[in-house]
Amino acid sequence: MKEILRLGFILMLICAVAAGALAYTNQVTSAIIEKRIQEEKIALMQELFPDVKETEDKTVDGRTATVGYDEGGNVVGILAEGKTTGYGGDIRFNLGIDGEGKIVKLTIVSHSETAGLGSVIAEDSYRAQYEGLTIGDSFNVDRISGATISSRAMESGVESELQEILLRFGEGFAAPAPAVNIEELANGTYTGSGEGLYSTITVEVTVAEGKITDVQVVSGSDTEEYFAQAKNTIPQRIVDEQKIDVDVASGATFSSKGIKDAVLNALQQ
Amino acid sequence: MNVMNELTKGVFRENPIFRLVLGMCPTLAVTTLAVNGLGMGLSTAAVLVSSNFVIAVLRKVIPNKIRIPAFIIIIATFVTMVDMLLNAYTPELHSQLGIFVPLIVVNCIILGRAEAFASKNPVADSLADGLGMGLGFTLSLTLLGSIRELLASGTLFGANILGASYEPFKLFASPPGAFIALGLLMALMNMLAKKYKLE
Repeated sequence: MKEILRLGFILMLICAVAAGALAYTNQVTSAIIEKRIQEEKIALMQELFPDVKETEDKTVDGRTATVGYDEGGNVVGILAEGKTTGYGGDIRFNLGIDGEGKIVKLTIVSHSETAGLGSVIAEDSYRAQYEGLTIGDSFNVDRISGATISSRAMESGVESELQEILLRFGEGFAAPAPAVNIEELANGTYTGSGEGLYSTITVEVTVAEGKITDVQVVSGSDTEEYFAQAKNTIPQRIVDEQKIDVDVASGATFSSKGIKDAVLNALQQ
Repeated sequence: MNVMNELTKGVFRENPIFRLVLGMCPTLAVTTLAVNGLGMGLSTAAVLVSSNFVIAVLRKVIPNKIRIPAFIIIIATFVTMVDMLLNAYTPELHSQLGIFVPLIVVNCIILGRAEAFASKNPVADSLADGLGMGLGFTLSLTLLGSIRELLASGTLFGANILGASYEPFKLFASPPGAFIALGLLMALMNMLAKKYKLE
């Protein structure tokens, strides 16, 4: 018994000294490592989005993304990882999305598609087809012959992941400046449309004596739950505040933006 | 035993790779480039010298029954420190070596020298032994890495040696190429050993 305690005590002493040495080394190096990782991230973000001045790692609903802000605090870029199921298993990819929700860069992190066929998804020429696409665009890019399943997985995967990422991190995008002077508008009812999350939203705007008196959402088929929220708040806000660039309804960013775009579109005509 | 003898034996007579055939896993895996071989060799040598030193100092304090766990703790501590330092100061090399840095813990050379030498010999001899073995390991990895890099891409430490017209022998960048290069070098070492009667 005494022998076991003695051995245990000696081992404990050795461990304690080792732990102390490691803690010290960690203290010295961790700041340097952390700083370098941050610098690499900013460099990567700046390569994709030249306006980025600051980056932040955000986690929303279990997903993490690096969000880049410009000097004014507007979101100018998002870098996030997405996943889809291909022919040989999971395909993990990184999406770089600019402040307008467009894909600027698609890179493949890892995949196990058939070499020579499905593996073409990782090649520059295939990935470049996704650049510039945004929600509402057709994601039917040129498929790889002999690798239909891998191609389809990428198309639907990139599209749905783009939506997921924008739903979580799309808030704070630089809003377009209203190019309409409401006071100078002629009386009457104007019709216009804008892109919501899944559908085109059409609105009718009534203007009387230089004021917006009514905004009606005529059509649109975004997810009802969120769309209703946007329909109930945005038209009222526009009438109340007499401006188009009102705050979006929380949880319904894209439907809200769709309505705002539609109003702008109507009044620009 | 004299210190000089301990220092030189690791380089050729008891070279850990070509003569003792220890630590084959990192040897085969990381020697795709000369600089990787050098980095891995120096990292291992640093751990080897430090652990040999500490173990030789503590050889009378550590009870025989728990010597292996004690050695492993000491070695693992130094390996983790090297890993952190590489990550902080040479990030490129760190990402190239990857998992093989933490795996230095289970490198047979280090535990082998701790058990066979440092736990039985005075501090100065153990330091020399660690230095010699580390040097031998580093030289061997660098040599293997240089040959593979030269054949596979015509460069040496990143500098172009064989010119643009050289047709790369890609096999040597892959694992089978590692075995072939290692086998040929080992045969050469055996031949030299026989010739100079070092057996």
